[in-house]
Amino acid sequence: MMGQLRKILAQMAEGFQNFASRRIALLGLCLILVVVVVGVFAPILAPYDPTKLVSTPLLAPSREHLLGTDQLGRDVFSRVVYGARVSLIVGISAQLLSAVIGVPAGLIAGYYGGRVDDVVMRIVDVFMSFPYILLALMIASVLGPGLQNVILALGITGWTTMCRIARVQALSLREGTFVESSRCIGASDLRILAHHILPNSMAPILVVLTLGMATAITGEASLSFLGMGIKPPQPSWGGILAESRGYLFQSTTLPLFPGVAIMVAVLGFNLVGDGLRDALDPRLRRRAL
Amino acid sequence: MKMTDYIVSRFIQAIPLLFGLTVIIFVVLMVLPGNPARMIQGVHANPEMTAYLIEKWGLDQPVHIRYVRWLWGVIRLDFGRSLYTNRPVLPTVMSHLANSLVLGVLAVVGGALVAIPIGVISAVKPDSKIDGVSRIAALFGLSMPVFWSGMLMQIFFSVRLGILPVSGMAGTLFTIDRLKSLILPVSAVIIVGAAMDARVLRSSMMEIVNKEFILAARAKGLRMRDVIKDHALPNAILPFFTMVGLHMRMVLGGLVVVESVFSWPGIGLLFYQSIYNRDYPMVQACALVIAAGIFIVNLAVDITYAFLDPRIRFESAEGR
Repeated sequence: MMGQLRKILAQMAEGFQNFASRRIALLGLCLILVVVVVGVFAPILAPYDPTKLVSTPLLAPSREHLLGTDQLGRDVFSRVVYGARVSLIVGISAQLLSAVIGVPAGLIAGYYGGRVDDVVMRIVDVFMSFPYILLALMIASVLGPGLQNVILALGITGWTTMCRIARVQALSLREGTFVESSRCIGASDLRILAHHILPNSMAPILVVLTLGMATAITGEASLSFLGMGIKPPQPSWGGILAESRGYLFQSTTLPLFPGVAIMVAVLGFNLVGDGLRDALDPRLRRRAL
Repeated sequence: MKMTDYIVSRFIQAIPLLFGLTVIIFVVLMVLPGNPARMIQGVHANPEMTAYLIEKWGLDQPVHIRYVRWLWGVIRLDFGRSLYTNRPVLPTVMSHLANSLVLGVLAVVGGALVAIPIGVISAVKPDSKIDGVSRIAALFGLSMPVFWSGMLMQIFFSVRLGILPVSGMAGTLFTIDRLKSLILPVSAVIIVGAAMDARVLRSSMMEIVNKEFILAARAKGLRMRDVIKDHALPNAILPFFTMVGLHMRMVLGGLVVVESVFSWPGIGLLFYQSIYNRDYPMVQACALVIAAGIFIVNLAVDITYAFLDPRIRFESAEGR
């Protein structure tokens, strides 16, 4: 067990050494850090209550209102700051939900193969044959708007990538001598899966998770933009953009900032995900796409 | 394995796929809250009318009966009538699909025209300035939500410069007005798709450029440009097209967002509005048509691929 742990740590350390040498990935890490800090310290950073009307509507950016005010007179800066929280919560929770569904399904499919594999992969195929955002839209409309429901909708639709990567891992790892030897000493399938195959699959799963964060954040923004995501007046980046659509001729700065925020967050996770992929396993490049 | 066998086997493979999808679509919509029979009447809903509509639409039947009924209709290409307009679903879906096709085809072709040069250049000179710039540009394209880039273009070209319409579909086919109203939505899709495609092409090119036959071609004195054009690109372009086909899924998914930003009356907008209106038959038809569209695109791509690269046919003959 200790040896196993040491191996993973070494793999991670080596990975991060390469990872650190990539400046672009570091830039991504900085972007994520900015979003996380803003999200965590939102109540301190935001000068106003994001849902209160504090001034005249559609003001240009000024010293009192760093990014101006929206169509109702709420402070855009405060709303964007609080939006970071929503995006991060949705991104992390949706990805975890996807992992909870996808990883066990993938590991089991890859490990047992045969009929089980066929059934799981057919289900994955069905999900993959349809744009995930449309499915998420349908589920979100069924559940109604709200934070929890957005997480559910994105989590349920996003598990396929996770499942495929876990399956590929299990498929190759089950042939390993360490799996064979633990089977020889009488380890159960569950034990082999949980203690040997899962830990050794962590690297690619981590990559998919990071890249998936970017997808989930975009997904949340899209759902909120279409009015099926976060319920107003709770601020979300997609929601602010949607609200600003009616005022394109009155205020051109209003749609600018929430979009920048989305891009910073998504770009950050994409850059770090790519960096991790290159560092941990360059061969993943093709498969994960 | 003959070409026709290959195509037939692909179609047979697709049947359980589409079947599974009908189940998912149906199940998801069946748990929709809100009684469409009442919602359709708006504020003047009365119980008798509601009861009448429930019976007329068969909403009082058990779910599996309704599913089989609907499926039987789908097989006969009868998607029923819209709960909202009471017009047959299929013609509406088809006319919207045509509008989306114009948008989608232009976006895919335009995207390839942008992606291929960028992908080739960044693969030939990896870690060069151009590669770096294209990588960053690709990542920006990937990271910009399509509705945001769409809105930025609206602000710049429509509000500030006033040279293109903000949204909507103007004029008739093949007129300047129609063309002008297409520019912004098509560009918005290209920005997202081209970025990804360029990266895919780069990675498949990278694999090819390190192969020995490229070295051999170089060694016999061919110019780099000819090596790329005649040896590397033809080999790298096949996986690229497969990826473009796979990306159609995203392009079609993105259409909902793009079409709603630009009020483009395509199938994405119809899907979205129908979800809002609780118009089940319309949503189901849109979803199926979109899925079928993706299947056909992928099939077309794969057939081209199998036609050009016989190894694929043999592999599929031996099983997955």
